[in-house]
Amino acid sequence: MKRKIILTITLALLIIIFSVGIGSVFVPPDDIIMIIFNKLFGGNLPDNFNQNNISIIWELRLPRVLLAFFTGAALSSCGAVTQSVLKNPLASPFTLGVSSGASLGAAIVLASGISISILRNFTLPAVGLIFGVIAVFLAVKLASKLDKNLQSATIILTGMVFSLFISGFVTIIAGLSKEKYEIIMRWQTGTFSAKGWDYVKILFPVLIIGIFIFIYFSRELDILTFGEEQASAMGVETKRIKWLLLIVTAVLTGVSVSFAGIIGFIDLIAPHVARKLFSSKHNVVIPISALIGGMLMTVADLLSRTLTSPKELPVSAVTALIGAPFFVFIFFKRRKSR
Amino acid sequence: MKIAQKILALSLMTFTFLFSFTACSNSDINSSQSNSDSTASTVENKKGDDLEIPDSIDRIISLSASNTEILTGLGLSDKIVAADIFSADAGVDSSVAILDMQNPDIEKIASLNPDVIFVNGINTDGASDPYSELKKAGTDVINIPAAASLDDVKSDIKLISEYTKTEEKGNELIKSIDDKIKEITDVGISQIGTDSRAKKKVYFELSAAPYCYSFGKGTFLNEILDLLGVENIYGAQDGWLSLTEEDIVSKNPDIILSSVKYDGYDISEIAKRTGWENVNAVKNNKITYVDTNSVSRASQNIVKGMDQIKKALYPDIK
Repeated sequence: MKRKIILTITLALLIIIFSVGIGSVFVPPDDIIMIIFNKLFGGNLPDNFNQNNISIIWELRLPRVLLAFFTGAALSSCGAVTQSVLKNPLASPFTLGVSSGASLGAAIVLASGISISILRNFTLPAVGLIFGVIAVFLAVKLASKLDKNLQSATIILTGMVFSLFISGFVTIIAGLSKEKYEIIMRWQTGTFSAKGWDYVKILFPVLIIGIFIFIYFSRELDILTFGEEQASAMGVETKRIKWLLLIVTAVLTGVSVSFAGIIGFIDLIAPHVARKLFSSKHNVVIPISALIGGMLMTVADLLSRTLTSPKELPVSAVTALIGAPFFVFIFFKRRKSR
Repeated sequence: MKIAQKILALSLMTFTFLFSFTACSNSDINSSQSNSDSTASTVENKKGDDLEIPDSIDRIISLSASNTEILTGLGLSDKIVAADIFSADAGVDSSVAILDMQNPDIEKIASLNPDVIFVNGINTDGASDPYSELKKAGTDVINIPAAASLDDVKSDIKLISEYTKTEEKGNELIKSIDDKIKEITDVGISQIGTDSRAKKKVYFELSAAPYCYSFGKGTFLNEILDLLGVENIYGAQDGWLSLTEEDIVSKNPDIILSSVKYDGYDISEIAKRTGWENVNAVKNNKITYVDTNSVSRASQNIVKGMDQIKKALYPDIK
């Protein structure tokens, strides 16, 4: 097990390095090493050094790769938690309405063109996050009104109904604002382009705190997967823990979605792959899901920006294209070896 | 036994229902064919179909802003009974510009009883023809696909003017384009001389980051840049492009033109993008907005677009 974990971490690092090395523009590897070394530890680059290459590596490509990795990690660890809390292998943070909530927030900001001065460029992600979290809060609140015990099936149903209801508003806003229609629709497909370091600097700490909370509750999550009655019998306050974990999930997913747009699929498959390859214990599943999700997202983004270079493909299309075969491969391989 | 009976009854009903439908549509086709065999002067449509020129046209519907501008330019704006919403600033009254160009309300169109509808490639998805019912009712549907070159713009004007019997006005509009083409060609030649290496590199942004869109060859905008003696950094690519930021930065354009305009967008954002600070255009503050409508609509107003781009590239030339 330990060897496998070390192998996974090494692979993740290799993928990050690889993705920084490859882009729609070729920058020689020794230049890349010089640029990163120079930025991290100071020192002077030769005067004749191509200034645009420095910008490309340090300000465009590296933050983009890291943002993709952290977004994949955030969505996948949230996916693992949602699947366990709701005891449904098809559940994902998106099931609860985070993405449609965030979309509504984004659509309102884009269509109205408002900008909150202290937030500046962060107006859109901030409003998206707030709407995403409110959507989940309302969906779970409604579920708890309908069902005192907060059964998983009730949450999933209210979440999906809520999602569809909110999506209706997004479509109406997009349809009514002719100039912004395309911008709103494009926002929903998601991209890691043109975000810079600011987004990475916010997502990283949120991700670490989120994963820390999830791992802290990993024993409760283990018990929850056995069933709510057993969990209650074992002294786990199922309802409160569900509330807490779902809200943390909503915040973490909300931040990712408002930064990068709605990029599905990875949050669904990474936890399953983690459980298949490692174990079902949550103190393993959560960090490993994060690593696998991060790797998959980084590769998806790498392909989206290089396959048809200099043209860019929507990353959400690539996640499904590489995610589905990868998922089938892992499952098929495991079945055969057993 | 009961279930078997029900299934039998149901399949019979379905069969009768379907049969009555097909029979109905067959007779429709026959009647429409028998209607269209008169001979009159014709004008050739882009697809090569001969199009009959009607004696008089009183009610026109236009479903793209480019065509609305051409019709307005030909003095036909008072005959336009409805247009798409983007045509609101193309010379028709805003109470007329009500139709959704991507999903036009066919019932509404039929109720206006038009003589002719000008559509753009965008209005038909190829799989189905939303206008087939209107055609059967005797309305001419003229499809004018998006113009890929200045020549296309001119031939679109020619087609519409011939069809509407306003050739004289049409020739005027075409001449205004020809004159402007000559003017910018002269400017281009005078600016670069014979040394093509002196050409400035231009990045023309159609959609702002993070979704950077531009265009390559096979577009009238690329043609205009070419005539003006500058090099489109994506001139080697084809058509409309969605681009990665790092590729744009690595191409290091000398000049950035942007036609991006919507509420809450400010073009000065380009200079503030992270990673763009060493791009020549940003360092030398060569970032200019060009009017979206003038550069994006394939009509005689492209003359304004050519003027705008000329001024943006060479602010010193009067």
